[in-house]
This record gives sequence, structure tokens and C-alpha cells, in this order.
Amino acid sequence: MSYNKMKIAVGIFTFITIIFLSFALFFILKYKGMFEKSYTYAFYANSAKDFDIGTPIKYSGFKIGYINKIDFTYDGKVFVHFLVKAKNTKWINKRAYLLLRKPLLGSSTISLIANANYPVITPNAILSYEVQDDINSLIVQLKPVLINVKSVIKNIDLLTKELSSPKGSLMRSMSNLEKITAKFANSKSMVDAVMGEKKSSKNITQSIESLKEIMSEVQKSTQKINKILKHVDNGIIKPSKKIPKNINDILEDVKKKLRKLDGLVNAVGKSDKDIVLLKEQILLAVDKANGLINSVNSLIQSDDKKVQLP
Amino acid sequence: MRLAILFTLIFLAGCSFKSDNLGAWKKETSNSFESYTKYYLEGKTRLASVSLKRALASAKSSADLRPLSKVYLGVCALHVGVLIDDKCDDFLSLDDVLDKNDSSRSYYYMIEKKFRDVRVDSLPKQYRDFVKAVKKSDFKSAKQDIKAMKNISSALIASSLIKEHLNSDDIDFLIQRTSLYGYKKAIIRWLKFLKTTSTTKKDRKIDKLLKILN
Repeated sequence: MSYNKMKIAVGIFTFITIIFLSFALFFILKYKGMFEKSYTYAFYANSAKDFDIGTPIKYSGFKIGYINKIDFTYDGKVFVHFLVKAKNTKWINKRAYLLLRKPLLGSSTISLIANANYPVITPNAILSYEVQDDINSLIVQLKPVLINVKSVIKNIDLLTKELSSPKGSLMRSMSNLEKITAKFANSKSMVDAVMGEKKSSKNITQSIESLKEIMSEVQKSTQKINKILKHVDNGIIKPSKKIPKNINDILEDVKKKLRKLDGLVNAVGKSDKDIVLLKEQILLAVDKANGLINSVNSLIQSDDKKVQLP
Repeated sequence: MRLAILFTLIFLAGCSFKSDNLGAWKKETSNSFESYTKYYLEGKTRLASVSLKRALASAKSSADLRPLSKVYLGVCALHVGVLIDDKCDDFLSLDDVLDKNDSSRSYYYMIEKKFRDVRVDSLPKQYRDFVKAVKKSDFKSAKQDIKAMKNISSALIASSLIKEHLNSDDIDFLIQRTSLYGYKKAIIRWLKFLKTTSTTKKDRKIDKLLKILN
């Protein structure tokens, strides 16, 4: 092949390649809708932090358009323009509006919410815009539970304070008992005689000895409760499942201590209605708290939770 | 701040406020048993006892006895894990009401060292390779499998099953791992076992550790 013929062959090959690539590009762009006419619509937003130029507008999960311009208005609002392909303008009707959804996971999405039964609106129209914040709505749902937790904890707090208060009925009774037992310390048989039976006097003596320790532990529990309460007061729970468990542990502890006091309260309670009432109140509060903790746990766990063997 | 809220609420994602009580007993059984496991290994006897009582009470609130049998079996396994002999009598008491092919049975055979009766595929995943190795008397692989176990309570249980084949380094490693979790009861029990296998020099160290922990 002569040099000239080779040059012609290369030229033809290059030309055909360019033509072929141009057609391919054209068809790709056409398929992508680049040559399809688009229409502009707009909406006002309070902030542009959740979208940007190029953010897709979706309808039923399909992309029907995208944001192509964002303006800041003189009154501090954000004016957003978005383009919609001609074939998709049929979805933009009088009742259509845009919904910005902020999911718990993943990035925000803008969806067109529309019902096809209404008349289509003309391009350049301004649509309504709503924001659905999943985090905020969950906080709203969680609020009643938090309020309940708070009230139960406060109740326990009040009761434990009442238990440990020097003016509280338990402490007053204890102090009286202490005086009696001190007087009769040298005569055990007299204590037995007063209490009616040996077992009762033994119970009381043991309980008095352990009361101080119990009260100090109850006060520690109260302090822990107050710590948690502070977090609840701030309107935010710590980011962990530990909170319900912590509450649970504290309440279990209070329950345990209460059981320890049983011997004493039962012996004294016969003659002191206040103490019996106090004990019933605590048991009721603890029971309520347990129920509440179970419901909080139910919220954060799946229904098919099974016992896992260690 | 938003991230903090996000993490808290990830747990709540997909959940809704339910008005019914469906399956609540199962959750309570499972949660209470989880608490029991933790408290037991930590040596918090009182709290462990309360949690176990709650687990048993909720498990007994249904005619479905599988969760109850698992609680009994789990208790037995934890005893084995801290080197306390347990014949799993509570679990066996349910023998006549449970399905003979129940997966718990293989677990029971495993913790009772009846490896020949164990159906490996019905065991919890973390034990399968370990049991396969033990069945072949390949204790070197079994030790590696224990080291690969993510769950420390499983590692304790598996270790106890081949404790005769563990050397003092293996036990030392297990104790170090358990120490990361603060599982005091398990640490003390395994330290006492280590003492039976170690040299005099190490003995003093173990004694001192035991003194501090007790």
C-alpha cells in the first residue's frame, strides 16, 4: 500500500470512528433526556442546609427533576428553582407539594407529593414545601415516655428522702425503738417480753444495726437517680440503652433494700400505719417503674427477641 | 448534638408505640437473663438473683417452655463457665415436655462434655468450629477457636470444657480477656484454677491478686 492510500484509509477510519462516537454520544444523551424540554418550578424554604444544586426531586421514588438554582431572598428566605422534564410535568398539579424528609439514617430527600386527579399547573409556578424531620417526630413520640420516667423517678426520690429524713415516720419510729432497746439493752428478756416473742426482738435489734448502712445506700441510689434526672431535665437522654438499664438497676437496688427492711417494717408496722403506707407506696412505685422500663425496652427491641445462650 | 440524638434514636427507629402485649414476656425474659449473665459474672450476687427471678417469672408466664429451658440451660452454662459443676437438673426437669430435637439439647450435651451426642449445626455459631475440633481431639485448633470467640462468656464456657488441656499461658490469656469486662467472679474462679496449674513463683502473684479481689 502506497503512503497516500494509507493516509486516506486512516482518514476514513478516523472519520467513521468520530461519526460513530458522535452518534453513540447523541443516543446516550437522548436516552438520558438531555434534549428533552424541561420546565422550571420553584418553592420557598427557610434554609438551604438540607439540599444543594443537583439535589433530585423524586416522585414515587423516581427522579423527575432536580434543583438547578438557589437564591437568597431579601427577607432571608431561600428561593429554590427546580427543573422537571416535560413528560413529568403531569404530576405537578394544584394539590402537589414538596416534602423534604430528613431520615434517621442517610441523606435528606425531596419528594413531590401529588394526586393525579387534580388539574396540572403551569410551569414557573411556586409550590408548597413541607419538612418532615424523623428525629423530631420521634422525640415527640418519646416525650410521654420521658415524662413518665421522670415522674416515677421523682416519686422514688421523694420516697427515699422520706425514708431517710430524720422527721420521717420510719426514722421517728426507729429512734423510739432505739431508745427502748437502749434502755433494755442489759435486759434482753425484757425486750422479749415487750415484743411478745424472741424472734421479733431479734429482728428489730438486727434491723436497727443495719438501718444506718441501708439508709446511706438508699441515699447513694437517690444521688444516682438525680444524676439521671438531670439528663432528663435537659430534654435529652444519653445516647445509649444504658439509661433504662441504669434506672432498672437502681430500682432493683431500692427494692432489695426495702426487702431488707421487711423484718423491721413488719414488726413496727403493726402499730404504725404510716410506715405500712410508705412501704406500699414504694412497692407500688417500684412496680410501676418496672412496668415502665419494660415498655421502654419494648420500644427499643424487636418483637422476636429470644433468650441468647451464653 | 444532633449526632447524639441520632444514636439514641437509632434504637427507636422502626419502632412504634404498641398497644398490645404480644411477646413482651419474651423480651422481659431475654433482658432479665442478659442482666443475670452480666451480674453473675461480675459477682453481683444480689442483683443476679433478682434478675434471674425476673427472667424465670416472665418465662413461666407462657405455655411455650423453650425460653424457660434456655434460661435454665444458660444458668447451667454460666456455672460451667466459672468452673462450678452443674448437672443442669433444672433443664433436665423439662425433658419430658420439650421437643427431643430441640437445639438446646445439643448445647446441653456440649456443656456436659457429651460431645459425641452434639449436633454441631444446631449449636450457636460461635461454638461450631470449637466443637468440631474437640470432637477430633484437635485441642490446638480448639484453643484458637476460643481465642476467636467474640463473646467472653462463650470463651469462658468453651475454655472450661477443655480446661484439662489448657496450659497456664492459655488460662492467663483468658483471665486477661475476662479482666477487660470486669467479670470478677469469673476472674477469681479462673485464678484459683490457674493456681493449681502454675509454678510457685506465679503462686505468690495469684495469691496477691486473689487477696485484692476478695
